[in-house]
Amino acid sequence: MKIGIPRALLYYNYYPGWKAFFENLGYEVKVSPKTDKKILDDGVKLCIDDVCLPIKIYLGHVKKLIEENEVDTIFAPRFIGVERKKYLCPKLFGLPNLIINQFELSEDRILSPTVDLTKKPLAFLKELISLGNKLNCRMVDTLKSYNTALACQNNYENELLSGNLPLDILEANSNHSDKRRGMLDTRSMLDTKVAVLGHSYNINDDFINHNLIEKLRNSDVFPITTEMISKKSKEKGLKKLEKPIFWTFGKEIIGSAYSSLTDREVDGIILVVSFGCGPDSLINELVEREMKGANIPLLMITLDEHTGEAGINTRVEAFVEMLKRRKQAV
Amino acid sequence: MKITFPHMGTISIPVKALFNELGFEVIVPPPITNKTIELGVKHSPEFACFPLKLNMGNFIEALEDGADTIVMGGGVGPCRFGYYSQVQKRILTDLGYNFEMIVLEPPHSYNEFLDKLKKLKNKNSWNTIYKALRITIAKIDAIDKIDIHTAEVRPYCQNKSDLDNTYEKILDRLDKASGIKDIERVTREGFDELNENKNLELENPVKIALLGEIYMLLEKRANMGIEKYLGNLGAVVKRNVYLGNWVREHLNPLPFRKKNPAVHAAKPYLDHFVGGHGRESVGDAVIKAKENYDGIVHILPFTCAPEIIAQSLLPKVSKDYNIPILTLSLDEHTGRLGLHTRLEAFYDLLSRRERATLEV
Repeated sequence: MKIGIPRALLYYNYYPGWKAFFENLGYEVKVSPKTDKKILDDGVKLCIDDVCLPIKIYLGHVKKLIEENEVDTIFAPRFIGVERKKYLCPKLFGLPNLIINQFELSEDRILSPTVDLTKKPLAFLKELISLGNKLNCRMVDTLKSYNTALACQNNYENELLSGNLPLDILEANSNHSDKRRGMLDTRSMLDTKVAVLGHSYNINDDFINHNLIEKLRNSDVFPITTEMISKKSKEKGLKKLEKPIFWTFGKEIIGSAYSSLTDREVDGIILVVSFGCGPDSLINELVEREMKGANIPLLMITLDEHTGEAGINTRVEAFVEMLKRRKQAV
Repeated sequence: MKITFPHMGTISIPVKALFNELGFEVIVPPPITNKTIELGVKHSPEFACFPLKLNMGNFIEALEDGADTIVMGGGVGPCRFGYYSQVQKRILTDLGYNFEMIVLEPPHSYNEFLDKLKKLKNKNSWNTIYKALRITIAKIDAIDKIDIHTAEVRPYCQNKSDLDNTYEKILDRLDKASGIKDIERVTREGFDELNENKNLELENPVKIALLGEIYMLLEKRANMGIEKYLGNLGAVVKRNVYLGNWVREHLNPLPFRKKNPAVHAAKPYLDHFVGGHGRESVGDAVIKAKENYDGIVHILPFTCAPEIIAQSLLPKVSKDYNIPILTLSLDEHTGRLGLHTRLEAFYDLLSRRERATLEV
């Protein structure tokens, strides 16, 4: 049996773990190809207007997997939260329902375990076991496979911490990886560092963000993402808040941004946002106000299906230019 | 301590009564006008939801009027409402206002909870507090009854502005009513006065259910009087949420709550909580369709994630139950004329469907 995984949303965060889990159970995993114009257009057609770009893209990927008919079932987990008392976006809560509704999938064509670690970690284990049951696996095998998956996932996250981007590792064959290796070697020599903050699926999908990361690297800027910033320094940043943030992505973004105030490791911040993103509308406001006070330059890039590459080019070039001049002036 | 709080429909009447009974001075924000909206929009994040912006407008106007304490609701996610207070506080502080913000939400520490309680208890005896709460709840129930009845009689009234005047007068009297007995009397008399306006004979008026995000349903300035507009066209309009529902859900200190039947009804379409009232919107649409309503109007503030999920699933409900559903995403850019044209077209569609089925 072949399991299809859409190359979108939390793929960039958890793919190595998922892949290990299914392959250890003896299944073949197939990922949809990289986002392209067709996938985007299909996704846009499948959704109502007000849905955000990443969800539209996701549905485009699901369509691709279903249409190509090479997979037997789609893996589309229902993500509620991946840590205590922190949630992901409400749209991810309802995603499996959107898929079932839209494609009229029968129950055996979709695997959508609920990932909810907000309150009881045991609930997730139960979901995992019932997922294994659905795949006709013995419980022992499921748990063993989960263990291996965890190890793979940890490995992956450590690699990210050391300065790699998810797209560098997950798409190791592309020219990205060469550039990355070069970058990592010369990291200490590059003096302009920019924190590129946003949801992983916006930062790592070249098509959505019009090659933002590559653009930065080509202008000798080292992009730092939330994955590269240690938990400890994010927590230090979060201490500035009076009330804990209850969104995982929001916490990562604000923790990373605020940590730059004390650590002073970056020269500027680029915030990448999906048009109409609910939680981010508040998070960004808090980031913007704090950065203004601390005199750290900030560029906000809003993405949707109408965003043109030329506009992004101009703004990124101007921003980088400004940062470099600022550095020289000091 | 001069307390203020945001508007949400007629919530100012019971909340003012509560704080007055507890011995506080209350500064009710001026009624929401275009200026309020302008102020709110100017000082809020562009993609924040409409309710946050209107809250901001309320706060600025109330602080200008001399309020020094803001009492605000809160929560712990995933709906944005839970983090409103923090962002609003930051913006207002940056604007230079000096005030205290008391957020009513599940506390993150025991001390914090006691601290808030002490501030709001204001040296009152438990007996006074009990009395204050009873009056508040009585006012909420009275307003809900009047609201429901007004929507029921509206299509049967020849002169709609007379009905509006009667309604305003009743609310004013409820605001001034001071004891439980008084509130009950005003409500009774209010019913009679509303009925006196009835002078049209209608056979089978169109029945429309209004549902969606709670603030947009309750705040008439935010939804541009959708309920009244449809009523004036000739429809009997019933909301799925009234003030009492909100208060019971959000400010109920007791751990047990009545199970919402909408959760069960939503199951075939949405079997999981999605934050806010997204699941309730889907469930209530199913319930109202089964109750033989002629049409459903679903309203949400632009960029509200939970309701966007509901909106994505409602077309299926509409198809399965053969009931027209109109979704309206509203914010400060919504034009009154455009909105009214759409509502009128929707009403016409429903009244023609109605006739068609009657002829068969």
